[in-house]
Amino acid sequence: METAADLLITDPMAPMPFMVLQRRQETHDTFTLALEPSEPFAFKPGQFNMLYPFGIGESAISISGDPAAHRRLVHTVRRVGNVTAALDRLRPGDVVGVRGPFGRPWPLDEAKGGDIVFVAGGIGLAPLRPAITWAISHRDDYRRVVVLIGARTPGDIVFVDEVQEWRGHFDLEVGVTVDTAHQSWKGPVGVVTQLVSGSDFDPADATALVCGPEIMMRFTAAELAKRGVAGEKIHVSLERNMKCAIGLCGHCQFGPYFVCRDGPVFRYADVEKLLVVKEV
Amino acid sequence: MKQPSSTRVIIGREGVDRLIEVLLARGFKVLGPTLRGGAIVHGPIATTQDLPIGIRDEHGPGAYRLVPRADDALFGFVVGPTSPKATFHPAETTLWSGTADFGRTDEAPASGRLAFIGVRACELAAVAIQDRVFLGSGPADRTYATNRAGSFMVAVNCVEPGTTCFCTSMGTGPAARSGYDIAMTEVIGQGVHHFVAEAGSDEGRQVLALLDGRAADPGEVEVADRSVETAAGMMGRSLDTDGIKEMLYLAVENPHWDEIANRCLACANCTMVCPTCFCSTVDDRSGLDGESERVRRWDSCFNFEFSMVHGGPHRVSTSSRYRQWMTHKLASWYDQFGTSGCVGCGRCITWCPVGIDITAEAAVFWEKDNANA
Amino acid sequence: MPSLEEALASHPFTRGFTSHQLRILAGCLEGETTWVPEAFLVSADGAADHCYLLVEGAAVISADSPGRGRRSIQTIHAGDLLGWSWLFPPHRWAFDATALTPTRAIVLDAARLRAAIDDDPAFGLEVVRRVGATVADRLNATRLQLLDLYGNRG
Repeated sequence: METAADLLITDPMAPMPFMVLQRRQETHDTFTLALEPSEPFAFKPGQFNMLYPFGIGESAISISGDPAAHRRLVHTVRRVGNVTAALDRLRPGDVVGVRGPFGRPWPLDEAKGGDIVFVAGGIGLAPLRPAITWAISHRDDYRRVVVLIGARTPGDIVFVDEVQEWRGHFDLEVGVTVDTAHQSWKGPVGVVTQLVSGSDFDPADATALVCGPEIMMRFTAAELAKRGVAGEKIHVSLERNMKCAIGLCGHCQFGPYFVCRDGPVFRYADVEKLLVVKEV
Repeated sequence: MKQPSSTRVIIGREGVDRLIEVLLARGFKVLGPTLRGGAIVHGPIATTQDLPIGIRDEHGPGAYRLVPRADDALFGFVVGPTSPKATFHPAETTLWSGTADFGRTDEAPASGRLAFIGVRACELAAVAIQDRVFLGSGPADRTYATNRAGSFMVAVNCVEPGTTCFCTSMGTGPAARSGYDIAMTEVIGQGVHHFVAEAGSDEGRQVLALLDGRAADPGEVEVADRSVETAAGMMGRSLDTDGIKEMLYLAVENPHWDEIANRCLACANCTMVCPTCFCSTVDDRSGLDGESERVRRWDSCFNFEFSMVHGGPHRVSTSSRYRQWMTHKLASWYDQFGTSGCVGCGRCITWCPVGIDITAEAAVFWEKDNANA
Repeated sequence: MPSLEEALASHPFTRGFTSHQLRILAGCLEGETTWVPEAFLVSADGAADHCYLLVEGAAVISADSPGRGRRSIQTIHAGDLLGWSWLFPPHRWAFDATALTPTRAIVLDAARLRAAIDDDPAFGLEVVRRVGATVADRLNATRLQLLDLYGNRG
């Protein structure tokens, strides 16, 4: 009987059935599914799976849970099309097909010894959460740990409970800003790049992991560069159309890169020039 | 590498028939060029009668037709719209099928050995390129691996290039250099009609030994090799590949892409006939019986939905899609797989309905690059 | 406890000023002000007759509308310049600014500062350059907010 890991080698296009354990609504269009893998599922923060609601199609979804929890596979999904709408209809007890994990992960090892700065925009916090969880549970590997989050409104902050919990750590700097807010919000209002300029990390010895809409990542990287962080130490997570996730269907190409295989995490210095060319 | 004349063998037309017989007897499914629907396409071969005997193909930008030859050459043409790609990487293949409980209902791809008769050097190069794509460093493609395993290639060296051919520029022909089990040069004229053959593998040697051939004398080898060399000097088109990767990367915002887009229909013909293009998509097909099938089928970077993200394609303009195709083929391929993606077969030129010529477009980019230097 | 002049010299706004230019700026100093949370630093349509350089705390730029109350646009922090209406006619604040935390700022007399800008073009250039940089920064930030990047189509 082939395990999921075996299948990835012998038949990487075959979905493995995992059961939905729990479902949680995060914001009006974003939800989190916790799945039970058929055997321990290991992944690295930044990787993604192809989720297959039977008969509908596949969608590439970042893994958003704790990388140390091998019996609980968590994905946070935003409902944008057919497949994600089908994922939205899943309830505990339902089964969903999973292929993975795929992709190049966040460079958490490389960042050791220095400051680590996470900058998340909107649902970009989902692919970063496993990395933040890892950094917190390996806190001694890093000097300053900074988490900067941008959201549309206070009601759109994903994992808001966990963000509150992170704020409670004395050895974590957590900044949250929103694009628009009510009078009752006393926190920062504005784009997340402004949190970067106001943060206390040491640019000469910091690794930045950035995830969010492409425009946000570009401006954030520019702000980080302005602060003095080298392009080789800024990492972004890109998204392109994916059909196979194993570098064979050609859809996810971005310049010479296959986003499924050479990414989705990229060194900003490697993709900076491509990101500003339209339709590349 | 050219074998010393002592290992070159002469067989006649009946030797080719015997070759097909031997392969069939060994359980191979034998495919080769056949005449169908006014084109030379790959099909099953039982005897040499199935080959397009005495037919020549005429190629031009957006032009293809078949005309009778003055002789009865078995392989008197170059390439048709199909290539070994259509067999090793079929246009449709089932990846998985199952029921809602994920019980699997499809079977592993049928294995069986395939033999190709009459493959051109450019086609062999294309197969080698696709081997690197599908059997390279990442997870192997099941269907391709199954189809390709144990395949037997009988190459035919070209002695008359087509008008759209430019294999010499891409270093892929006209002589087959590797990747074949047997390679032959057809020599016809002045009362002679035979094939100068050599083996390229152990199995090729075994099969060749069964064909009742005789050792070729140096003069016969010389005639055969010279005709192939002559063909090399007759290419109607060329493409300068020295530094082309860097040049095309730098040309990413060149307005010439827009100019090409004024002509390009984004019809995807070029990607369909190209022997190295490999892009695919996955269709989900559900039946009323509760079973759903995931089917891989050929796709093209020219298709509008190819680059769909967040409810819209990323490459909207034809300009960006043509740029993606040509840059991938001639530049990015080096970074991805270590070689060019183009073998100089000319199919994209022949089967482009508006006759866009990749060699001419490359020349324009070179000119603009030199002008800026 | 740094003097007002020292605070001015170490504020990001004056980075790169020559000592001569710093003296001219210090000549426009009026003092320091503090605000408690919810106090208005400036009000929309109020006379913009002071230039404020925040040294402590945070304030929110906002507009008020009937039925919806205070609508926050952007927050500014220690090290920021509060607005530019003091420099351009009609010298009236366009928006409200309300303290979110206890906030302190260096206060410069706008009329004196405008006169100094006219009198000494080299000094004026440095001031207007920095004001321009602030405007550019805030405008880019506003544009990003306007794009509603986290909305349905990122």
